[in-house]
Amino acid sequence: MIIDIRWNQGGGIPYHLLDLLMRKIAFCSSDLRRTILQPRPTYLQNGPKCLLINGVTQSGGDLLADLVKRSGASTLAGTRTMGAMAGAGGLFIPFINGGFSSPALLPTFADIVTRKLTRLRRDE
Amino acid sequence: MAWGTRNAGSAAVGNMSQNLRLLCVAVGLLGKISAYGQDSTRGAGVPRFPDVSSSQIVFLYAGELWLLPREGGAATPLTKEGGPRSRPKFSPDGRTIAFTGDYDGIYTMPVSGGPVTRLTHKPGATDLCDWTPDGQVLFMTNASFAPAEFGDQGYLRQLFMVASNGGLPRQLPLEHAANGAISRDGQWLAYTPYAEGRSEHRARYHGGFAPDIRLYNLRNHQSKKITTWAGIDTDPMWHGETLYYLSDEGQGGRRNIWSYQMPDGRRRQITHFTDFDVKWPSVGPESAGKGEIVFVKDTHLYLLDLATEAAHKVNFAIPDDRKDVRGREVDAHYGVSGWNPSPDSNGGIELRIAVLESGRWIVRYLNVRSDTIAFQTPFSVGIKKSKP
Repeated sequence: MIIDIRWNQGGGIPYHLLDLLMRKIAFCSSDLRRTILQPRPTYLQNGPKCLLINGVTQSGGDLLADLVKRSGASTLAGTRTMGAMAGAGGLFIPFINGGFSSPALLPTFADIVTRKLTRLRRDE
Repeated sequence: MAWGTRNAGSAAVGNMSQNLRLLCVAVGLLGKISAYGQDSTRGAGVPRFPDVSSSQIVFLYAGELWLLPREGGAATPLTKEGGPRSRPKFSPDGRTIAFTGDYDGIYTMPVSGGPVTRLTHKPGATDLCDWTPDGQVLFMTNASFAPAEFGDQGYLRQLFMVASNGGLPRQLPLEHAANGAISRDGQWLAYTPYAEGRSEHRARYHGGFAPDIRLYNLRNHQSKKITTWAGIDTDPMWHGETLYYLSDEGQGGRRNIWSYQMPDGRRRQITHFTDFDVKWPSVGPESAGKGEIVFVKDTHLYLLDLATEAAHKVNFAIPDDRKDVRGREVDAHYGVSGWNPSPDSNGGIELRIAVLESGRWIVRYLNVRSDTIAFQTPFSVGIKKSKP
């Protein structure tokens, strides 16, 4: 499965996608005749996975690539992402010429998330 | 400060905002505005987007294009009150200037002044790159390539060429490219995959969006990346066999001019400024054809002689009728953006107001106590004396 997030400008924290990527088979259920084997939890991808990124992948895209890399949830392919978490946190400081500054408040938060993920992986 | 009951507090706040409105009206009626920090020759502005021909420099200053002799001196205005423009570039013969008008596209005009000719009719962010050696105009636009929406920044562009008298632009065979420059023999296109955008907000940036310079062979369609620095490599410029470009690879992370020698691919740092970035470099022929690069550093224009690799400052004067220096009355009742009490204990305050003049917001300072108005208490304001 290839997830293409080139040109992706991000948005929210991509925890739903990360959740799907990190699912592992707990057990399989079947019908009574045992003709269909259903892996549980559902909506998991047990085969090879790849996240496609490029220099325009930014913000939430940066975070997804970083979380995937640290957690080992998927393989990364492509080029280095933009590294532009600016604006995360919603703080916009206006300038008198009409511009604004949008400092990144999220990296601290991202650090907490990834540390937690690292601990999860160590416990496995 | 004792607020008393909650209701009394609200009343006081309401009273204050009413008095602020009164203050604004009073300023509008009686305020005398005086300008500070005016320089008789330069003003407080910064020249931007310079280019140089064999005899003249053109640059953007205070929203208009100005012409200046290569040796410096008094600048003469080329345009007037038409809106902002950027990136003026002399044609190879030095007789025409192409520029990006922020009103709709790229235009050309004679160096001697006169009517403009519109060259492009594309929506989106369209910016002039440079003239090609055969006298066409090379520009970049995001009009027909938008895998990601960047508003007006235009990080992702495509390169087009158009004849200097207009016509249908022809796209160069690259999916996305910016900052194009074509070598004199027409063989090599130097470009960056990404544009930095119209704002300059990335200092010491090492992310995946940092532009690198690539060479594209227009004859055999081979492409190669010639810079490996993780930071900014941009603004390629050809002079003969040498490709000059801007990079922050050097000491201190400042943007300096570097060179790439074409046969052997040797890269070398040319300027070594550590105080300020080199901005908006643009190559010109120099009076004897030896080549020179004009750029802006700090607030000044500089010329870099490519033969000696020495840079010198070009002094210029902007003629000004000094009409802003005289005190005058303005109606500023809707232009007040804020106010602050000054530190002196006499109850004087200094107002900072933004006034809309000639389509631009300008900040003025007004000493209310010495002019006409003074605060009497924190919650009331009155007119202490009339100006004689």
